[in-house]
Amino acid sequence: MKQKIWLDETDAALDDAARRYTAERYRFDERQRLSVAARRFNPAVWKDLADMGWLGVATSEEAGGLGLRVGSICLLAEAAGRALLTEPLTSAGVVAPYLLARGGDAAQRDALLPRLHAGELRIACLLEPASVRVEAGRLHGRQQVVVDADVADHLLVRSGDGLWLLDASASGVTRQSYPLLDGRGAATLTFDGAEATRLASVGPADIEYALWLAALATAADSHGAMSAAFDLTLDYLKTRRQFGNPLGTYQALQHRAVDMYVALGESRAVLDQAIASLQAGTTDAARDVHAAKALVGESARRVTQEAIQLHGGIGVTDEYAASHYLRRARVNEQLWGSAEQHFMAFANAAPATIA
Amino acid sequence: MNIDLLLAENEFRRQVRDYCERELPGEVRQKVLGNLFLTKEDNLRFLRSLAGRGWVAGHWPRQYGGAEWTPLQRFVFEEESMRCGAPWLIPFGVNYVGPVIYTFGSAAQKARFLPPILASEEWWAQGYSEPGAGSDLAGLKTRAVRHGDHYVVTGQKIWTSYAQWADWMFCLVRTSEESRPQQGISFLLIDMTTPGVTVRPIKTMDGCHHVNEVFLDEVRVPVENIVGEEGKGWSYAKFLLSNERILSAETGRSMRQLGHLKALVAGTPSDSVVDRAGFDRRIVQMELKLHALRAFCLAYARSMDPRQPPGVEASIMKIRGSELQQQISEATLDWLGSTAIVYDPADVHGERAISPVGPADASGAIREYLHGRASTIYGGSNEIQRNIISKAELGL
Repeated sequence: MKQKIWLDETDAALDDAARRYTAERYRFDERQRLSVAARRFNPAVWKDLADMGWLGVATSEEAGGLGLRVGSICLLAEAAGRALLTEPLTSAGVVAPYLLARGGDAAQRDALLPRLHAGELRIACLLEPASVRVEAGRLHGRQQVVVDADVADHLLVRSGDGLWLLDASASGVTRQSYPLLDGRGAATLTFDGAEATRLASVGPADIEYALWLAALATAADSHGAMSAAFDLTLDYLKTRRQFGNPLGTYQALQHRAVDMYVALGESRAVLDQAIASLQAGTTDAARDVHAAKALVGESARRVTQEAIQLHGGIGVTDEYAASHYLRRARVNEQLWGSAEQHFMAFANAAPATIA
Repeated sequence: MNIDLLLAENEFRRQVRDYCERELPGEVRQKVLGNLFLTKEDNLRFLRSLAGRGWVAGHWPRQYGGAEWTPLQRFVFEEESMRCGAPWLIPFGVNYVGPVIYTFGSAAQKARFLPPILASEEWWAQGYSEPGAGSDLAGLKTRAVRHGDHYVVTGQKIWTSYAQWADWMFCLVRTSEESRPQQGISFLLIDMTTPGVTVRPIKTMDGCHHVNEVFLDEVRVPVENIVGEEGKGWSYAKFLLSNERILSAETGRSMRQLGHLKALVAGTPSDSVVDRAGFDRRIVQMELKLHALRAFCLAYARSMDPRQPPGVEASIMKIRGSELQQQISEATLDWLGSTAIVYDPADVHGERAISPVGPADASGAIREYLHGRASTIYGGSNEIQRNIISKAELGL
């Protein structure tokens, strides 16, 4: 059951390129030698991703992208999770281009989309603020932990049903940046009368769809992280010897490895179903996405925790990749609607196809 | 996703639902919905009602009287019919021995045995496990010694489901001693009326008679009743076991039971659940697990090649499906609270109108819980499934 029902030729080419690029140019051991700051964001990598077309999978061809490709978005996110990629792929490569292409006016699109696609501009998105209000075109309020706002040039901020664009270093914006658990970054944004422009044609449905895209991409990212953690663990079980035998000969450990494998297979199926239904726009799409974000998030936490346990001491160190996958999964759980929020949304969404 | 395929899938689902509502005998359906014990006659009425649509053996090839269902159609039929209150299709004839006979059997065996299976005229039992050979099935010791035109079979089988109704039993027997226990096993078809066959019931904890011991004392079996080659029985048995696992997720049953629990929660107060929000959350967790299991099964059914034996996916479905069933029935008993300790097996045999306390279907729910403890044991225990995945897929 290896084939994905949604995979087409463009997906296959992107997937192949993503595997090669991350294996050759984004190696874990080499990145470990970089400083924390250098690991957070690498302009050369970002340019490479743009050149490979990764930043154009959420925008139509007439807007300069490859079309809105849910499958491509997710397979690139999966590669990102696998490689522990810290660059702001979902914010600046998916959500921002999607929303600008959907709801920007001609001037906004012409000014920003080509630069977004080319990797010359990064936009962080605040789509579910607790308390941001707009008065006469000026933003007021504060929001903590806005992912990727630490490396953003511009911001997209929701207030009510509207979406507002502003320069991240505009007057009236205070940005307190900090690292996240897994090496990515975020910022607390304080708006004190910052001037912003509204994206005139963005409606609540567009924002909701952007959130689904981001949530599903994040679930795919977690899937990538947990499959990498599983591969590492399986390899370790086959090579590490204790009491004269490889660890993998002990049934207690075999069964735990199997449980990780089962969780992976299940997570794959849930993701694929959500990708297919979001791409096709079926009535179950929202429920499928909520299920994916909730279930894959929880499985990723469990599998990456198990990966550490099955490794023993080396698993808890910073120099070894296992713990990085756990940290990645924990961060993903909180992004674009927490696993808990999606769980509750799943609970409230009745299935449409069988009733 | 191919939209035509999806529409065809939904259309077939509607047909199955339509059958359950119009053609499945209402009394049988009510018993299933109430989780009561079904008699042989109940099962026969179900099978006869399927025959009109040619659905008794829908997955069989046309030349043997089937409808050549795709794996997806087969899955949809099982899921939707069980969800809508059809009985579990007792598999020993239709799903197990039938495919073994049309795949490995002689022309004479096909002509003799397949039509009565299709017509539900002959019942089959499965003679696999023995007192000393459970999970380690290849350790079986029942011997078949060739004497002229007959094998003389002596030994004991156990956990033989519905042997009390069976006309025939397909049976794994040892025809020779070889270095590997999997070698020297043969696949015999035994007439249950042959002298020397004794069936003794084993009552299970739900108070019902599902399983038996079958004693074989110098039972004479004509040599033409061996399937395939002597000594190759293990490969036929493995073929059969993999067929068995493919439907083991039983998503339709879990959908029905979870629906039942939700209706119970909506309509009957619990005397034991204090934390209602916590209980509701538990239900959603099970719904999410069911969502995942269905996504997995559907993806597998849509992509599988029926000519290839099922892979480890079947083991994954068995593990997840049986665990989920048990979780649902456990939660149901938790909701029933003190009512769930009142149980008289007479209730689930329809010998008493209703249970004396609690909702009318409480006894059925308790029976489902008790009987369901076997689901992680039968068909290759979940531990054996994990061994299979570990070896076949992970290379450990």
